[in-house]
Amino acid sequence: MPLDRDDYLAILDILRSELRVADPEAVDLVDRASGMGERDFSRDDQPRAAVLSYLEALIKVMAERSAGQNGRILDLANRYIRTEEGGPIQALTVQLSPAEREIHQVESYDLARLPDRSEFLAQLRDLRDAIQNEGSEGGATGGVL
Amino acid sequence: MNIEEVRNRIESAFRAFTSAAHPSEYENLLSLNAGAGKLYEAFILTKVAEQLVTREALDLTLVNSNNIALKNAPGQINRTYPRIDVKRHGQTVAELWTDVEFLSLSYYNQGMYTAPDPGHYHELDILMVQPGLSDRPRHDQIQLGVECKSSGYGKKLLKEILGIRRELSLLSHPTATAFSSWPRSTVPATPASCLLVFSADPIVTRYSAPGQTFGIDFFHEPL
Repeated sequence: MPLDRDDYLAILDILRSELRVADPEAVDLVDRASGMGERDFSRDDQPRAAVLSYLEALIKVMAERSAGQNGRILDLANRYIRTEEGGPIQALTVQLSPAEREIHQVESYDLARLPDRSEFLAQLRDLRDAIQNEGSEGGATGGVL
Repeated sequence: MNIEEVRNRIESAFRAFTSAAHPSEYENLLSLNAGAGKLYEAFILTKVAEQLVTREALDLTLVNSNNIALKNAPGQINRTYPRIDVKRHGQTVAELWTDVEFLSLSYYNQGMYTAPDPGHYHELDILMVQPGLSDRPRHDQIQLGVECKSSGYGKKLLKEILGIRRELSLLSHPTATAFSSWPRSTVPATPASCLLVFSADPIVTRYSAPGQTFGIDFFHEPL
């Protein structure tokens, strides 16, 4: 059975609930990036469009929080900042405080080793494409969805 | 496609999200959002560097390391840590530090007779200060302060930055800064430090109006 208006509202609810558990601090950011923060999506008259815009925002925000951005930032840094020896800047790191070093037995960590969200992002993109195709196939979705 | 299929696909995606854990040696060090925040801080550092080089004709040299090193927790200036020297015509005119606390204007006005209490100093994510300083810089030794917010912006953060502005400077007539054009040639504050907020959240621009009075510049800068 094709997705109807209530299904799309349920999808929004599922996406936001899962995100709230997985990454609570991203919830507001994704809401605003999708325009959801200013809309009462339970009364939204275009729930399919709302789902698609929410998925787009979620993909964008999570891509930015993935280790994949590390190389781009490093490239930017090397364009404008030089090292004393003249070689390239090699890494973006976070140094631990002396107390943290003692506890964890490491001095710093490399931001290139943040989680790689590629699989998550690929699955979200597939879902977005499937929902887009669902709408373009016509049928029960109608104009208000 | 039906709703159960969609639900399964969403749950599967979020399982992939949570299973992409940190490398084991970092698991206890870093929450996901701390990492995202530090990545954003590094990104804004490069954006600030870009403006200083292209708009102010300054040269930037990373000192004490070949890695840009942010800090997990704020603290004092430690001269053995990596920093960025800011040079004009070969002369060091300032230094860029990250995650450093500064001593407040109120502490200065109270005479700085005792060791600072926690209320006497505040952190900024990026600080450009006079060269050669150690410990916590004073409010009047700061040329540029930057706050970086990778998560949602809101009223609480606006109130926080207004407090930082208050502890950096007094409201005054426009006063010349250390810069010719970027971020500002003058600021309505004495001492004339520039104060910037960068946020990944587009809503930040809706909180920018008080900055016109107090000399705080807000930028929406998605990563």
